[in-house]
Amino acid sequence: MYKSLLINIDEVWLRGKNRRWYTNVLKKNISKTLSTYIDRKSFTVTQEGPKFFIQFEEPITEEAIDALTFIAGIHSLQPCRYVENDLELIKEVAQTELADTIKKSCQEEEPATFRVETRRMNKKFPQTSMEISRQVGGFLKKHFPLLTPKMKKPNHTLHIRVLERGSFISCRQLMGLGGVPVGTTGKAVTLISGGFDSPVASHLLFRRGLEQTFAFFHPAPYVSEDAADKVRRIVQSLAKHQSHTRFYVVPFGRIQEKLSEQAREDYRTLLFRQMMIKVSAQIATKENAKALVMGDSLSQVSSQSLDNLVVLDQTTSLPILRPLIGSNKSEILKTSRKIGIHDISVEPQDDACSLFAPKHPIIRGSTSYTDHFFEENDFSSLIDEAVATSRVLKFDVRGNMSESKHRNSQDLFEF
Amino acid sequence: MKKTYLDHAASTSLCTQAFEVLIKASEKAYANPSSIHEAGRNLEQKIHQYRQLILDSLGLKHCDDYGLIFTSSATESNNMVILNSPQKKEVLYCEADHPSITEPAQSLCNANNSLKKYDLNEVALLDSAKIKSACTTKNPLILLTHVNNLSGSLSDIETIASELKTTFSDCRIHIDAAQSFGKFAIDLSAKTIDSVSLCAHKMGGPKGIAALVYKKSSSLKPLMYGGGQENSLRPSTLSFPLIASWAAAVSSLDQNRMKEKINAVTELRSSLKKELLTHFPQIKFPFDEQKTSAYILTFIHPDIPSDVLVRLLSERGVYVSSSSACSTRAPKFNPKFAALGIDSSFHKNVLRVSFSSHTTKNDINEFIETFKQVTEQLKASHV
Repeated sequence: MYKSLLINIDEVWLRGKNRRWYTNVLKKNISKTLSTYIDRKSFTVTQEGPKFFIQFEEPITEEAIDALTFIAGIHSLQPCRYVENDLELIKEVAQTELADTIKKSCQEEEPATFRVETRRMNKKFPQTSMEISRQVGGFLKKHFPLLTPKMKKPNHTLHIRVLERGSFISCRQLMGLGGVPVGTTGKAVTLISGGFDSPVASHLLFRRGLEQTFAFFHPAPYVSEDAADKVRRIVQSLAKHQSHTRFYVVPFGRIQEKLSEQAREDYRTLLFRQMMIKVSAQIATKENAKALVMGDSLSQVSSQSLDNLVVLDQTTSLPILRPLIGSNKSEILKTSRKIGIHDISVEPQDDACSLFAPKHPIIRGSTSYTDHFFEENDFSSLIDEAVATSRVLKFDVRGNMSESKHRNSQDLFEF
Repeated sequence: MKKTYLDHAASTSLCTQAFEVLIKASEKAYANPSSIHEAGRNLEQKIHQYRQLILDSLGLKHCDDYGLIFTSSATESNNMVILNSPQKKEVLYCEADHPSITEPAQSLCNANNSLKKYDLNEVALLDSAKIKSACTTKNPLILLTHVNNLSGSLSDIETIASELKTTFSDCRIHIDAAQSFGKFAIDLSAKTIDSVSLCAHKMGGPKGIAALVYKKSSSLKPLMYGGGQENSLRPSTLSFPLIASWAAAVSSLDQNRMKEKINAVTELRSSLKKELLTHFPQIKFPFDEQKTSAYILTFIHPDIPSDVLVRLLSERGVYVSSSSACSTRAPKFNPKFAALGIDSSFHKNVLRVSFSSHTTKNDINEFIETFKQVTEQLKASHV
């Protein structure tokens, strides 16, 4: 059972004079996330160089450890056992840790390989790192007859960190998300759909510390509530990257209807997307966000041709961040799988786009038509209405919906 | 004639909130929750919230590992779990369990399942050592009852489940909580319990609605096939008014109030027991008060068969039970009573009085007075 956690800080450790600000935000993000699982009073977070130490009163749960793998700015984390700086004690705890690890991997009866890797930051400790590794390794070999030492790619690696405050022992090391802590970059509105690209785009920018509010354009009544539900589940999964998430479900069917009535058929898709950008820009003002995020990848579909992206960029003065612009679909799918959203994205869904989709969408769109169109047709009241009638769902860092509106017991039994 | 109803373990009245919601929902919320129009969708969303409300009451707030399907009765929920056990799986149950456990379990005999009975301990409670000793495989399905319907025996299921999971990490544990839900706290947050049957009509909800709470990782198959409701696990049009009414009963639960109610009922039960012993020293109480649900008092009048007592009391407007209402035609030897440790010479003499939080001291007095009259009458006619 682990009562200590070692967290290695990723790139912000390399910052200059403002490093402290970055590490403080990261520390706050870590504490906030942990305190949704564990009483804030029962753990302490301290920093020593490029590491945070978290000491818990009770053994830390797997859920809480897992939650930290969503926190941007962490290079890696190690749940570990704490012991005083004494070689005999270190040996003893190393034995328990290794025994537990073997038990967990269900290989108690099978031969396996291991190595001991020591880092001695505390130079007052009498033995050197190499000596500690050798002595502990020898001791473990005696106690585990089925284990043989192996330096390259062993089954189990036992890490020993000897620090001022004591030694930390663990066979586990989890990779963090890396990057920059959320809340240090600013805020953007992410246009999200039930597909593969936009969730991956969002994920990549969370790693760059970007706080995000999400907007989904729901073509009701042309598609069912299930479509919104699917996107909600995706957002819930992404919500684990920041302490609070707001998710706008924007009613979009009426806007699509009106656009299709009045616009050139081949321009429909492009105009739909321009409208999405216009609505998102309004949401950005409301949410105090400085940019938009979209999942475009250059030339993936007709609306993502360079000409069309140029048209889209003219729609708003806000910068549009497109982290996937140079990614191939196969790479996007790979990331989607890695971040666990692929299984949701892959679910079949109704698509209103296909209902309104032009037979031959424009590939080289031009602002001369779109500007003219928006001058002729005033959509501002529809945009205002869309923002005003959006449903706003709120999630906490565990991806749970906040209950304010939904748990009103009076509402619950009104029909 | 005044009526004194002391058979709340068989079924009890609707609580006020449940009644109001039942009427209102029956009048206004008549759409089919599976319809895709707004009227249907609104009800479906509400059902989703009700589901969560019930899961929350089981300590599963923010826990995504459990699902809940609405069924028609706890009997159906129990059947669903038991009849779903894969071939060759060992199934453990206790003879003292409700017939909705023992009967489907016995029906598995033909399906290549090995059935094992476990015993209760000397005070008729679940005992993990006894269950373990009955078990011969590593991954059995173990059926446990939270509150026994005949004796009221109240077992610590959370502890038993964790003890069983420590020994058999791959076993599946099902709890029949029909008799306890809404009266005693049930906490699934340790995730050691795989499924639970709940029932509405014994806790102030309406009849005809119940639920099965199950770990999403367990592979359940439906008992019936049809329109795909409840993730295709339980097709049938969802009964919105019943579900809403039950949810109203659950939402009026409150852990603190639960304890207060138990304390009040415990007092009533003690006074009843005291009165009975004063007037009828021959009466035996086979189950320890400390080990049973405060809502149930089971006793034995060694001289008078209980079904006679039930009928005579009933004539005078006092309603109690001679054994579970589901099996009142049990023959002389009752294996369930035997499993609960009652000597077979008394199997025909077991009387169950059960209370609700609305039972009053007056009800108890009425019972005692009528009980006295009935026994006097029998004495007079030299029975």
